[in-house]
Order: sequence, then structure tokens, then C-alpha cells
Amino acid sequence: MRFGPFTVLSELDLEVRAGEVHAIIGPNGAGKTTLLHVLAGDLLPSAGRIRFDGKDITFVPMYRRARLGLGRSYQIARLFPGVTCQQALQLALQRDSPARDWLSRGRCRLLAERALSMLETAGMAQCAHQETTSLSHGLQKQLEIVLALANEPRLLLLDEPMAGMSASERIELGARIRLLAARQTIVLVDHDIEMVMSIADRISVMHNGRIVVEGSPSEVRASRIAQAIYLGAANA
Amino acid sequence: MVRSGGRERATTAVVVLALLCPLALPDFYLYTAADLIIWALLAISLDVLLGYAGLPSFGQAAFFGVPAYTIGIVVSRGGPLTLAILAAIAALLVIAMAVGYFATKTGGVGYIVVTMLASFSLFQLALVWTGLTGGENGLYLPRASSLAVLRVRAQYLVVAGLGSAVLWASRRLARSGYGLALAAVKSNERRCRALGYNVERIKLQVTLVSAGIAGIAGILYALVERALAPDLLGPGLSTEVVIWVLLGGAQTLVGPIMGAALFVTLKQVLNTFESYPLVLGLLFVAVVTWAPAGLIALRPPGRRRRRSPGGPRPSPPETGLG
Repeated sequence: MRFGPFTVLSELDLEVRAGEVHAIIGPNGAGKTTLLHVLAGDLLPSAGRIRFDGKDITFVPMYRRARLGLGRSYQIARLFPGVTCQQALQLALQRDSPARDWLSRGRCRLLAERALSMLETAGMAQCAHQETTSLSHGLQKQLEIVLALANEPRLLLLDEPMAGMSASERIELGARIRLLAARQTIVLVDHDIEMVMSIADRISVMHNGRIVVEGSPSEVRASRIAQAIYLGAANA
Repeated sequence: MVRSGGRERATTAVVVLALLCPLALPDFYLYTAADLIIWALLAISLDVLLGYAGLPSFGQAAFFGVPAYTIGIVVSRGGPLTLAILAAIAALLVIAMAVGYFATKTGGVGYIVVTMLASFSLFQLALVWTGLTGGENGLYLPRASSLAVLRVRAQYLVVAGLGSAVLWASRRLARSGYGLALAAVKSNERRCRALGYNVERIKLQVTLVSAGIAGIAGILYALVERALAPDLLGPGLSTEVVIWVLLGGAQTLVGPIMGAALFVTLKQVLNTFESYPLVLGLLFVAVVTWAPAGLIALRPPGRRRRRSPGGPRPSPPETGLG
């Protein structure tokens, strides 16, 4: 992946196994978010291939990747100004019904009810009629995940879901991600190394656009390269 | 996306009043009222696009003038009215697909540029291609193949009926799941893609819907007014529609209708003054400055408590203009 003269990702080979929680860690600027953007289709790679479930999706546009079962949350929660939480979720749910159904009042009411019950399940019923952008940071992050999960994606890409959350919120979210892993494959980018170690099945450590170490949490913990990168980053 | 009962009542009131006019007024006013409904339809067409979907079309006159001219061209060559209307729909479809495709493809400011260029080039074409369009003289529809065969009251009812049907359909659209998708595309395009929405397709669709409404207005104009001039395609009218929508209050449907009615009426009342465009311009500047949500957002003094916190204090724009 290049931006003009800058090569952000290079010689990168990542394989995510179905059913696993795969974490990507690394210092700032390592290219973690760029990697997620490339996987989700926000950015097209300048070279290389992306396969999802055996299918080459390198040039498949983002919206179609979402329909193939790729859900994602963003690092910077910027949702829909002027749209309430319930409406946002209704929007996510109506995606799979044909456009002519969108005009049907009964169908819309049905989706609105389903949206509300999903918010209730997520413990966010009290925000149903609030504008998405008026929520607190933590709630926006939570809504992000509810939205990404609405259509039951097979692969969930989470970009720093825990950034800006309190310690207790992190623990709660960590437990939820573990629960989700029973049904979804998850790729997770985060800075909280301890949390990542405790919930991931596999970890890839990125540095300068490459994956330098990959393995189980204990293998990564034992790796001297990973330690060097993190110590180096911490000293910088 | 906030729905207020007041707006609902206002819409119903507007529709009922518009339909009741013919019972009380002499013929001359009926012409004026039919005219206002046609301009209101053009305003609605842009509100769907600009207000609800956030797509800034500065070429709305193209979607209005092309079908109007097509009818004029067919009818003035002796073609039957049904053929003329079918041809008008076909021509509109071609223009709307082409403009919509390129405007959506370029996106953002490109949408403004493409729509504006379409309006401008069609205006020039109408001026130059005199053999087809009559050039500066325009076209005149014979009485027999227009709505003029009907009595004034009946003509008015046709226009008012179609007008309220379009208003009703636009409201349905705005409040449906489709309206929700439009609102989402307007507020966060990228997020819509991540949710699995084909944003380009939605934009093209809504451009076609908007062009369809503008086209109905154009066809009615040709059949009621019967005189066509290149201005009906031009950037002047295109820009004026944007002013109507912003003046009245975008994303409300009723606001743009009021905006169109107010602006067109003021233009007729004031055109004895030489400098009347200046007055209209100042009115527009005043509204944009003091009531950015449009005239419809203004509340009577006693009910101002309901205004949104943090928003600028709305004040009547007429004051200070004399």
C-alpha cells in the first residue's frame, strides 16, 4: 500500500483463520489502521491480493464487501449527525431488504421495532431516540459495534474499539468480544496489549508496514523482536 | 429527521387551501395560483435532492425545461399531445440519466459543476438551435393541444391535483426507509458504504426522482402557460430554485413551497422598481444570516422557547428592508 512516495504497507502476508480473534498490535504509524482500511475496502491496495472465504475481493467495492459479510467499526466514532440511534440501526437492518420495501410503512415499523429490541439487548434502549452524534464517546463506540453486528457479519473488523474507554468498560467489552468470537471471526486492532493478550487467539505485531512477529499470545510475549519494538516505541 | 406535528398540520393546510382557491377566486387569480403550484413543484423537486439527500443541484431548470421544450417541439410540428408527453418523458429520462450519472460520478463540488453546466449548455443550445427551439423567440403551443381547451377552473384542478399528489408522494418518500437512507447518505457517506449501501446508486436514484418531479412541473408549465423561452432551461432559473429552497427552509417540503410562492410573488409585485433584484437579494441575505434554517423555522414571538439551543436567534428578515 502506497500513498504517493510513502510505502505504508509492504510485503504483508496476513492470514486470519475462521473463528479466531486475531489481534494486530504495533506502535503508532505501523500501518494497523491502513491495513484494516485495505481489508474493508476503504482503500485499494497498490499491489497484492485480498481473499475472503476463498473469493478474491481485492477490487470489490466496500459496500459489496459489507454485503459479503465484512462488518467494521471505525477508530474515530463519527456516526450520523441528525439520525437517532434507533434510526441508524434500522438503516443497518433495512440494507438486506429490497429497495421497494423501504417505502412500505409496515416493513419500516417492523424494522424500527427490531432495531429497538436490538438496542435493548445491547443495554442502550435509553439512547434510542438520541442523535447518534450526541452520545458520549463510550456509547458511540458501543453503538458502532452494535451497528457493525446488526447484519451478523462473518468477519468483524474492529479498529481500536477500546480507545478512550475506562478500565471497567474495557474489561466489559473484552468479555463481549470473547462472546462474539463464538459466532464471528474478529480482527482487532488495539493499543491495550494486556487486554489483547487476554482475548486474542493469535497476534500479529506490525512495525513499519510489515508484520514482524506472529503467533499465539504466549509466543508473542516471549518474542524478543516484539519486546524490542515495544520497548523502542515506549522509549521514543 | 425530527418530525413535528405542527409541520404536519401546516402541510395539510397548504394542500387544502390550494385546492379551495378555485371556489372563491376569479379566473385571473386562478392562473396565478396554478403558476405558483408549478413553481412549488419545482421547489419540491430540489428539496428532495438538496434538502433530503444533500445533493446540491444547480441545474434543476434543465429537468424542468427539457420536457417542456420537448412538448413544445412535438406539438408545434403538429404531433398529437399524447406523443408529445411520451417524448417529453423519454427526453427527461435521457437528460436525467446523463446528468445524474456524471454528477454522481464526480461527486461533491463536481455535482454542482455538472448540473450547472448541463443547465447552461442546454440554455445555449436552445438559443442557437433556432430551427428546433425557435431560438430567442421560443415556442408557442397551439391552444388546441394544451390544457387551454379546458375551462380555467378545470385547468386549475388538474394542476392542483397533480401538485398535491406529488407533495403527498414526496412526504411519503421522505418519511420512509428510503428517506432514512437519504438522510444517512447526506450525513455520512462513508459510513453508509461500510454498512453495505451502494451510495452512488442511491444518489443516482434520487436524482432521477427529483428530475421526475421537476419534469412534471415542466410539462404542466408547457401545457398551461403555452409560451416557452430558453430561460426555462437556464442557470438563472436553476439558481433561483436554490434560493426558494433555502429561503423557505430546506428538508421541510413546505418551506421550499413557501419560499417559491413568496419569491415569485415578490418578484411580480416589485418589478415596477428598477432595482427589485437588489431587494430580493437583500431579503435572501437577511434570511441566510438571521434564519439559516429558512423562513419556516421562524416561530411567532410567543412560541420562541422551542428553538433549538445554540442556534442563532431567529428574527423576522423583513425588518430593516423597508
